[in-house]
Amino acid sequence: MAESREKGSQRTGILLLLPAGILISALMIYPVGHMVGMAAVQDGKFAASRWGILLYRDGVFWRALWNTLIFVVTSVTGEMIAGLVFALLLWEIRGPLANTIRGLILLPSMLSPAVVGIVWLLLFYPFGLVNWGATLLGIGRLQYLADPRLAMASIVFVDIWQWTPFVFIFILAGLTGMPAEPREAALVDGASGWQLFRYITLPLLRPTLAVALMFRVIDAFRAFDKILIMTNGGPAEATTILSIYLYKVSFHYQNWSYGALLALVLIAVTLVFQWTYDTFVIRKVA
Amino acid sequence: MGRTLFGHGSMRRWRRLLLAGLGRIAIVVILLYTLIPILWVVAISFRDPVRTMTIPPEILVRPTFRHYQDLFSAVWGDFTAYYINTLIVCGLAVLLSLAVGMPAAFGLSRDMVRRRWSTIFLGTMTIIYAIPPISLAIPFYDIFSDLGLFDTKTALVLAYQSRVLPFVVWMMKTFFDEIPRELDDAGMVDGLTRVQVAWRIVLPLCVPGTFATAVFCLILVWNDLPLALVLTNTPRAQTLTVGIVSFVQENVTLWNPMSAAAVVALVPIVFFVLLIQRRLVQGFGTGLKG
Repeated sequence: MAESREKGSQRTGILLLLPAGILISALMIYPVGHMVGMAAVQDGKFAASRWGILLYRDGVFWRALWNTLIFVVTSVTGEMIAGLVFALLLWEIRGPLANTIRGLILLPSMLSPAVVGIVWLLLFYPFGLVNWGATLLGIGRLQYLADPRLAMASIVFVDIWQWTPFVFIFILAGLTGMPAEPREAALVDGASGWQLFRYITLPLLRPTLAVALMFRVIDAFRAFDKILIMTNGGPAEATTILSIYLYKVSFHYQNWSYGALLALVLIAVTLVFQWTYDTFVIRKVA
Repeated sequence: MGRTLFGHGSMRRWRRLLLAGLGRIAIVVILLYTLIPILWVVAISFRDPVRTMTIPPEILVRPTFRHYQDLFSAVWGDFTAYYINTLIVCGLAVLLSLAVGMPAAFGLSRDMVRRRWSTIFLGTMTIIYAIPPISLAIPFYDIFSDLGLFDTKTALVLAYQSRVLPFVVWMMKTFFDEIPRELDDAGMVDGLTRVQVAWRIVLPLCVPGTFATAVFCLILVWNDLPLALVLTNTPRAQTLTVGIVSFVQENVTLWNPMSAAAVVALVPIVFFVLLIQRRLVQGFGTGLKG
């Protein structure tokens, strides 16, 4: 009786998972396979070796890969630090406005990156608000998006502006769920504010920080919309990251086969990070 | 040194007041840093072109609604169509992902399939979540063109499942996990089947969680650019973000209508965020960690 019931439950379970399984296979597993085919074969001829050599010699590809890594590392580092500072500063807000204040601070992370791109296109314009503020501070007028030396830094800044609130809310959730006893005990023992943070709060927050970091890195590899709007990869490829490059190769130069290979490279980079991080960091701390 | 100085009662009170004051200042500074860029775009969207890029910037200018009228009378691309398309695609994509994802989440939460299968299932979801949409857009373009679905809302609704389905499964699984299994058992003792238990007992308890999940997915779809950019090319299926990008690429310095377009896209997001503001922290904390 119990066994047949167990079996029946199994059958229902499979039926419950089936629609999602079909959708995943049709819309995600099949397309990735199709993409491998696109990269390997062009016009009925085997092309993978040709693309492999091209990839190796393609200076723009290496530049884009380098830019992607720079972008991911600097923007995520900035977001994690700023998010932690925000969370520690705003941890204690209470009262009727607390939720609204959090909602308002979270707003940039909820906006479409395309909209954020427009916001900062407007602010970074040579005669825009940022340059006006900069001249007041005596910095002078700069071409934030058109100067090859500044463009990537500006893009990273905008990404930090957009995603710090996400890290902030994430850490805030971690702080709120943290047990109070260790902190209280340390306070009774006479720990200073810094000691409290360094030896109690930070170690307890480590799992939260580890997970937030993973979400941010995976999302940073996805970055596309803001750059498309603000610089379109320029000036002089200074902000061309892999996602922008593969889009241009596929949809502007119409080289679908090579574009598919670049897309696979981007997927591989993301998944290698995800797997490594999951195995060596998340499993250990979380 | 600091401890002896601030160790006594009254000093400690002063210190606490000082910290509270600094906390207030920090809140104001962070709010300004967050909101000024957004408010500036809102201000520009109501402004006459000649009063837009003035130095120094003017704070209060008599507003004009002209740019919004232009936007919706198709002066700069068919924004009415973009808006309607976005609403339809968002609604259908979220409904489909809930309809497909919630049963799966329940099955996983109640360990109704073998462990090996649930591990594979959740692992695949994690991998799919990590794949950048612009890379998936390339085979999607090929496949949907072959199926005759290029430039249709159907293609978008299907393509967006790759973004929202993993979310629905993870978030709903954590919400289902929070409902004690004793309730299931009680229901089954009363003669209900598993599916009836899910529908009549567990789901009603998860309404707030389902709502938060739906809003999260709605925001995700609403904000997407890469998939819609690649899979559409006429106002028949183009969404708001695509309209915005093509507008920017064609008219780089028409600041006012460009700002109006951005505002039109961000107003619903503000509304969504306010809708789930109480559950935001919770949603991030429980939902995402899965």
